Amino acid sequence: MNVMSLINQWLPLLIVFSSFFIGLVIFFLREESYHLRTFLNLLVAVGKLVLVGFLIWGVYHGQVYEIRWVIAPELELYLHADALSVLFVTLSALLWLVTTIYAIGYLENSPHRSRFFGFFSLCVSATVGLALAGNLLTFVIFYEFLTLATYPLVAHKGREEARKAARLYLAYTLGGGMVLLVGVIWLKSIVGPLTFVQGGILDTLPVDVHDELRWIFLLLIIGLGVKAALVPLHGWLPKAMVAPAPVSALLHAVAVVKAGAFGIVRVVYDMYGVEFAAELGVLLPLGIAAAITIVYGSIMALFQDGLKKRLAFSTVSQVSYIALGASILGPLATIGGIVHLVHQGIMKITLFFAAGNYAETLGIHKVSEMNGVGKRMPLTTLAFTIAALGMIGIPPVAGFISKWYLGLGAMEAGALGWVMPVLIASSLLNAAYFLPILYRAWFVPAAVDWPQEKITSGRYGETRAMLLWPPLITATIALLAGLLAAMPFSPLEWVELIAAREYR
Amino acid sequence: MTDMTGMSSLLIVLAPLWPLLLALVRPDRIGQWLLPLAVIPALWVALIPEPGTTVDLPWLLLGSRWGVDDTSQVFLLITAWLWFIAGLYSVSGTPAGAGLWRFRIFFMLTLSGNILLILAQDMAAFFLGFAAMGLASYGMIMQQRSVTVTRAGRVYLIWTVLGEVILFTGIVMVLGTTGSHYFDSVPGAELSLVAVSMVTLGLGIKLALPGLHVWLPIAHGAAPPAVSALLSGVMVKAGVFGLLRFLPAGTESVVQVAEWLVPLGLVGAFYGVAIGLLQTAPKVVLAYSTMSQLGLLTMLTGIILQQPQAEPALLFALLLYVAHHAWVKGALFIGVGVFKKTLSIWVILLLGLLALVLAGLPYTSGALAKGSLKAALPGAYSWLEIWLLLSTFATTLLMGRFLWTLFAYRAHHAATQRISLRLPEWLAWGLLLETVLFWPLLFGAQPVKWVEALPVLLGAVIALLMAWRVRVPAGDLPVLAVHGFFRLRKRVLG
Repeated sequence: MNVMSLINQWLPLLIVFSSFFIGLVIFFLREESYHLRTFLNLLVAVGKLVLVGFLIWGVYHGQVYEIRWVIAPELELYLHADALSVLFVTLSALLWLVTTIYAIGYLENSPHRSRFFGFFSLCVSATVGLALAGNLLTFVIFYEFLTLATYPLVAHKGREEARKAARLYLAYTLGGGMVLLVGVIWLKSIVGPLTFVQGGILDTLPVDVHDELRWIFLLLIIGLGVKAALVPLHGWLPKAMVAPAPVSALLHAVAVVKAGAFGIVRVVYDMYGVEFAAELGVLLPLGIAAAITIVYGSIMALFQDGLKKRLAFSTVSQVSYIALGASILGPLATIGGIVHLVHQGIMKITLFFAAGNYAETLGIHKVSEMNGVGKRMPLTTLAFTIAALGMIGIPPVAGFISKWYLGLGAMEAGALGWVMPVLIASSLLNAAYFLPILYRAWFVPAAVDWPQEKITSGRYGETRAMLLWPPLITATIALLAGLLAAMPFSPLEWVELIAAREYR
Repeated sequence: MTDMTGMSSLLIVLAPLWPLLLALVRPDRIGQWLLPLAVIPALWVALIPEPGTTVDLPWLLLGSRWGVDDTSQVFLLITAWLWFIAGLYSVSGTPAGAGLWRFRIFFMLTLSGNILLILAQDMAAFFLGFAAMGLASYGMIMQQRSVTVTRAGRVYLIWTVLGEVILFTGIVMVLGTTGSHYFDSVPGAELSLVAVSMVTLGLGIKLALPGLHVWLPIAHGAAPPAVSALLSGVMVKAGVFGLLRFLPAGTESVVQVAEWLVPLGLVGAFYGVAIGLLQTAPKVVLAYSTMSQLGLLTMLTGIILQQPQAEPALLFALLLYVAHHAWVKGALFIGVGVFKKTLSIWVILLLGLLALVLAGLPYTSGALAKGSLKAALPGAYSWLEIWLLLSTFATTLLMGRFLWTLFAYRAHHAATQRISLRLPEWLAWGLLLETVLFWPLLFGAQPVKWVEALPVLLGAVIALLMAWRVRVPAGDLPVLAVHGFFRLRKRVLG
């Protein structure tokens, strides 16, 4: 029994800090010790996935994994694994492994790899940490830590443009972090300890603090909205796409943007409680902000010729589905929003992997250069196609399931009148900026020369194996997450478990 | 007996999956023969299992159920047989090189979607099939590379995506009321008027309701013959099928919409003919004829949806009409392909025969379908009889125009090299012709009222006397408006 409780304490700690320590080790590796670094990277990524496997099993069977560490009175670090954290931890661990493989292939022979992988590992540590955070304070600490760990990654290429984008990123996120912190401290002064509890903890407060709670909600959402790229706080995201492809992939799929969205979900469901938030009347403004972001991001994406830039605006739009789901009262909308946390991640990471492959292999950076690329790189383009169709919401790819539940949730809450037009507009706009890419790639004959062909297709296929496999794997997952949505332990099934516990 | 059920279940699951597996086989000369073979499991399912056989696939999508009932089995038979013919025709007819792979993959995806939407007993699977069919057929349309085809493809894709998004909205609203995504929860559900309208609009694009029809003549005119045959023959019928699946017949809101479908269908029936008469390309004339015939089907569906229990005679008439139109129109489109290669006068004569069958010549499927339709009309709608006669007359005129365009085409291409047909092409067209001519005999000799043949004869005579000079672009009024706008802009901007 004692051993059990020891494991229950150590498991979350191990999951969070394994990559932290490996990251520190990697910093001190020499640049040319490629094999050792690769071994360490993969070891910790695979190891973490195995640990997460244990965690899933345990949480499903009602085990409690938690560890507390009181730093000072009223100041407690608290890691706790509930169903929602497990969902996000699993997503992070899985996509991290894939991205690590991709990054190793992508950065072959480029300088500063030890620095890159060091921060890369710190970054996963931060993401997993905020996923497992059991109270708002712990969440904020990891949230800020994430900001600092990603800054060097965005600036990695070291060119003026990259440094500028990274500075902008830092300005936005530190500013957002400040606002968040103010909100948290204010809230703490009213409530005391801010433990995340399914169903929320604020509904017992007296009526006279309700106004304060509304203001605090605004502060929290602004603080989190910077990372979640809610319009008009999204300015850094399209600029940050100068980062290397694996970083963009992570930024858009699990790490930064998702941290913001995950935070919004935590605040709405496990701090305020969605029913109480509805009572306060703060959900509708959140929903409107999300709706504006969804439509605005899609429209902006329409006008981008840069492939990664178009994908970046698409992220602005798609991530707000999560906030939209959170802003609609009712279990079905909750399912739609939270499941999109996973679905958007696997689809968007596929798109960025593919975009990186085009750039690395053929020097393609623009949509207008993609003519006929399907014939030259069929597998990469197939992966891109699956993910793009999923973004539009075409079955059986995962995005379809998200829209299905968001629509149903809106119907259940009687909010169909304003949610459905947003979903329709967004689907049509998604089609309008993704289908022309697919048309160019598959139906228009290629130009005589690619912009800059760096990797010739040969014995090993259309590009390096380590670049090719990651998008294929994630595209397959994206397809299966929709096709087998009703399978036990699918993202949808797991999220249904979460939603059932949020509404008591 | 359990063995038989097990076998049926297996084949029901296999019917949509088999084509996808075949899509992976190299499309060389032997591999091309897999095109017609892809429908074998579907044909088996259409003929052998008892209606009511279903398979539950609890892990698939949101929990899926596939199976057949009386209506869907007939739809499946009609569909699968035309796919078989189109596949056979395409064995040697598709362009060489990378085009082969592309055609193969999109053919199989479209086929798979088409079968799935018929077998689906739940809304998610239906939508999956519907979307796959709609999007993948874009790749089939885009066979030749030309400005016209590219434009046609774009118009087709825009309307298809629009239809799918609207249908999706409708499905979500239906689902919000029924609470279950299985179709057996639909009958009797009191849907909102908005939900019914959304479903109808989404499917109405496939049905080419007047105003939503722009894509049809453009796409059907530009696609290769076998693909046009499939589009016009079976894929647009997914609209009828979907309406019957999603809308709970006889409920208040459905009756309200259904009452509109009758006049709307009638308008479509005559509008299609009127514009079709002004066309010069044979396949565009046929496409407008499809719009017109879809109008009649829409009308009939509208009548069926007004009663909670579908009148068996009406449903039977609908199925006869669907079979009649699917196969005749398929044979006409493939026949145009045959004609354009051979430029043979014999082919024109055969096409003339088919044209008369479509119009409703006695002793043919046209007369059978229209006769049973007329016999089944409920009392409240007996006034439609005269309109049906008029529509027969109009269709005959349109078919006259069709033959006229063939002669014009022949005169224009007199100097062109004639291409001899390959064996599979002859085989495919021949088989379909025999199907068209002989399947009505299964229903025994029909009493012939020569009065009803009158409009056909009259139409034929008038058609012979007329030669048209006016023409309107495919896509008619909306396209004209767009052209006009650009011309105006040019003039204004200098």
